[in-house]
Amino acid sequence: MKISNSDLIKNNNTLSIKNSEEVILSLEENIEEINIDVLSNVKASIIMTDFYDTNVNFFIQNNASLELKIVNNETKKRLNLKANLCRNAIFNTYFADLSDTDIILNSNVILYGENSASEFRFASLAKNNNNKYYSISFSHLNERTSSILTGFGVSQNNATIKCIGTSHIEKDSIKSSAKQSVKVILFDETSKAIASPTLKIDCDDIKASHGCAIGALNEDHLFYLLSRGLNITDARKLITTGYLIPITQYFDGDLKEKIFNEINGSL
Amino acid sequence: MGKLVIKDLHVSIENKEILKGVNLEINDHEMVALLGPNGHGKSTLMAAIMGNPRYKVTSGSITYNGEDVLKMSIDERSRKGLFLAFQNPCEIPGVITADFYKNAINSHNEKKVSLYKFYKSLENACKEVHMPFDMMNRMLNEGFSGGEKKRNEILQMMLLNPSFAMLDEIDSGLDVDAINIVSECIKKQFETQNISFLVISHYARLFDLIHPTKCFVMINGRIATSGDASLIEKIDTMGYEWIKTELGIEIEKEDTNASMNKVSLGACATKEAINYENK
Repeated sequence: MKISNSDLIKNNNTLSIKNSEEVILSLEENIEEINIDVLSNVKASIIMTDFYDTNVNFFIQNNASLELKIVNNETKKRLNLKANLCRNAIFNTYFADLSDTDIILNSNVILYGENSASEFRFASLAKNNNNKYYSISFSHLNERTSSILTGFGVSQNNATIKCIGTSHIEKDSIKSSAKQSVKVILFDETSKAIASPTLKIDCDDIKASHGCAIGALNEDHLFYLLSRGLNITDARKLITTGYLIPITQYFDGDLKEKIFNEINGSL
Repeated sequence: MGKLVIKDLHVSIENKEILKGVNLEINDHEMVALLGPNGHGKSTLMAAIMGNPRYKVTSGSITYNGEDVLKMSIDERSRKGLFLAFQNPCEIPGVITADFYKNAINSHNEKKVSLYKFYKSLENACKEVHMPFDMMNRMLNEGFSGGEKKRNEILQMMLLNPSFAMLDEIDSGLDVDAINIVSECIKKQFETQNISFLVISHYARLFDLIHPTKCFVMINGRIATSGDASLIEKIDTMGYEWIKTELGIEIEKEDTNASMNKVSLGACATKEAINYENK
């Protein structure tokens, strides 16, 4: 199902997903605020490729699940995602950000219902003075909730990637888990990256881990590939694309191929 | 043709001299064992031959088929036929094993290998080392067991078909069956290809299976003695203490505190010891 501006405007900027299906959200013009409800027991996915400065609010009802797949286009933008998850709800976001543009992305997921789960996974390529800022937060408000943040970035040619990850496990959220992992390769001396993974724990009996790694290409990895005959250019490319390629597994068809080609053509 | 000649080689890592004048020659189609106590420079020698930038050659020469190896880049050394099976192969996230192997094979050939031919040879190599073919679609060495990583090194050797292969403790971390599989592959490669081997191991079992004809013993960063396979048996039964009495060489002891605290299984003892000293 393809949803356009007019479809949303007719429904007061609200989209209610009642059936398990794939929704393509294609906006010709900016809509400031969009509300998306996923009804109980529905398993849906949304593909967002065209967006500008938008706030998108999700409400994922009991036992429902939503996969949000975002591909950034070539327009400077700000995207704010907010999601509320009810009992047993799942909300996963996969973000391929390969555009040659600045972006500010804020994602705030509230794991309100017991046993709700959310993942945010991104691959970011920043180049040519780009400033890419991602603030990803999860609030665990109930028992057995889980969150995962996984980010892979490549920063080159005076670009900056900044990722702030926050997982807050509030009191009484026993048996919950939070994981954060962000890795960024700095391709040259002019590129920058800042990663700040934060865990706020107000509850016992939980599992939490966080880590970030920022640096130049790993010398041991390079040596290994070179020792098999790859030249330095191919070895660097293989390692770097290896950071970004895994995001393609969350996309299908033409879009998957487009992302794959963009990664291979960009380095 | 595959003759390696090393003359008076001195190698340092982080300003500490590890190799202090190594001399050795390995001829075309030879199976050679390299023995010695931990931390005396065996892995350093292999790393220096392959061109690991962490190891600085301060003087001496390495030639292969008369060509100056030290003037070659790492990848050039590989394309000239040198191969190093790592003691501790690294895991590279995001790099799909099969993609890497295809790139590696293409770098060794002027004409790109066809996809069919590549997958056929990959499948055959997987069978030889008893590795499931579907592992080739996984990230390079990521999540592989110690034994799988070692067999993966041998698999790469078979795909690239080098003329001089260095195997750095290829048997460490392998169970009995896996040692048999690996040694069969080494033997087959030796019997069917024009290849020389330089093999480091602490255990006679591997050497019993691959039958080296020449043996070098490295002590204190130099080749202390060399001989035939009987030297391996002597070291296996008597250790290295006889070197002191027979050759008058005092064996420098490792810092046992450092090794107990810092050296982990599968790690390069020399490098770990230096890291510890520098802390």
